[in-house]
Amino acid sequence: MIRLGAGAGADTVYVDDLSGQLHARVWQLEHTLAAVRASLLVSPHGYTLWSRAQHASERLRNLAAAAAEGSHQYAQRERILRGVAEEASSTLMWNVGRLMPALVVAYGPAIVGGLAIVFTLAAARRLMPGSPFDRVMDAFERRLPDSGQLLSNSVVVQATAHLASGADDFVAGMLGLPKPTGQGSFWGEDAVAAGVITGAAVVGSRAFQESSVRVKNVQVTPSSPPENYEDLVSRIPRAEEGAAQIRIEKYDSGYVVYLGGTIDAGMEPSGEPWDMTSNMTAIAEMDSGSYTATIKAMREAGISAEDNVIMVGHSQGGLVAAQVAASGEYRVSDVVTVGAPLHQVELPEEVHLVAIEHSEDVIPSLSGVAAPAAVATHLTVNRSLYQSTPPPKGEVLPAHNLSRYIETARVMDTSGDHKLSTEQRG
Amino acid sequence: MTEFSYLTGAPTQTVGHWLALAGALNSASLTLRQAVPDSLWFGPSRQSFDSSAAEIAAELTRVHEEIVFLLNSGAVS
Repeated sequence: MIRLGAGAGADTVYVDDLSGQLHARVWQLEHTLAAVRASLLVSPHGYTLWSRAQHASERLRNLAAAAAEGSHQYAQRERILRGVAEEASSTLMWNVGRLMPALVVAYGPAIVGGLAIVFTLAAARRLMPGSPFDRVMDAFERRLPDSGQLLSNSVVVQATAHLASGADDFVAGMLGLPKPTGQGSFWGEDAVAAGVITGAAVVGSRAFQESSVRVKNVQVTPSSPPENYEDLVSRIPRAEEGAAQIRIEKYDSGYVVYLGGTIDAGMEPSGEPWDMTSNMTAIAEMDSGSYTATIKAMREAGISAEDNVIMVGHSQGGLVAAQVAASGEYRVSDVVTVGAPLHQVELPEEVHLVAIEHSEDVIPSLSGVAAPAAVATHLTVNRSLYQSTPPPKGEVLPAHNLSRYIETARVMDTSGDHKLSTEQRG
Repeated sequence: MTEFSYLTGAPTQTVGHWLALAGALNSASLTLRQAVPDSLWFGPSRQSFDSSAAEIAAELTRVHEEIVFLLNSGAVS
């Protein structure tokens, strides 16, 4: 189901499309012209050539604006096509759900038998390492596509978004209920996630069950204010075991809160609040461990409900950043996220959102398809990393890497696109 | 692409500025010639874009070449 509302994805800037490339060249040319002006205007040759270059630069700026208009038209057509695809996938998921009981009855024994064979063979392989069977399986595994490359395929990314958006349609179909319409609070990705958490608790599993968190101040250092997107994104804490997950900067004008991404990918809660349990509870719109830790840290830093706050986050940190802004507990003016699954968070219109996503990053897709809504203050910045070259082998999620988002922030800073002007966005 | 292989040692500040401007003009011209508009953008605005892009790329190239000529002639030091 696609939830309509003020979700992320209202407007999109493609920093690698024609408009983005031209704006970057205009920015470069205008800065060069300004830098060399005094030196070149002293000679007649210099004056003539500088003026002609300046005139060409102005024409190029107008052309970049025309290309931006072209991108806008393209985006509108793409939005129509995407709406049709969303409705089709939603109906498909509901019908698959309806067929599921019959499929289980018809093929259940075959599926159970197949799984038993697979598990038996896997156990036999572990018991006999180096056997001919083990060598055959090794050769087979080498022929399989690299999992990181597979997950970075844009088709997989799109399919994941549709599967996540259609999860509630699937459940409704399986339960014999009508197809969800998008109205009401009992349907949506959050309801499905809440169902999974409740189901795990009912069967006595520790999976996805939150526990209490504590916050400790580990370091205080002087800091200069961030000046651009690269500064903001590069200050997000790295998702490393044992490292601090939250960074808070205090200025006269307010605070900047930086939140890192998921550290522990295990299903059962450990001592790490930035874990998979927090991801699941955050998607279920319940108080996740990472959300609770963030609020505690903000209180410890002395942030009050009247202070101006900018939230910045990567992955799970981006989701929590958006949720803090949506909660209304703090006066959050801006949210900047990279690779965050926040498509279902309904942010108030007065909060400026810049959601940066790579086309090959599957993590934002886990929150479903971005809801198209006309909110001028919410902006999605999209960049494709692997259009001309394949994703690197051996990396789990290369397009989700914070380092690559720092590169994209650098591209944004030099893009020259007026929508990405940090001065304009405040 | 223009190579300035005859330059040995560090260029003077003015030559450096001319080189920077030539480089920026060349980059803009190359981007205009190589970039491909999206296939879903069509109609009169696309036609207007294509013709303007060709004109501007030609002008950028002309200014770039004149700067290179100026540098090669030794009129700038």
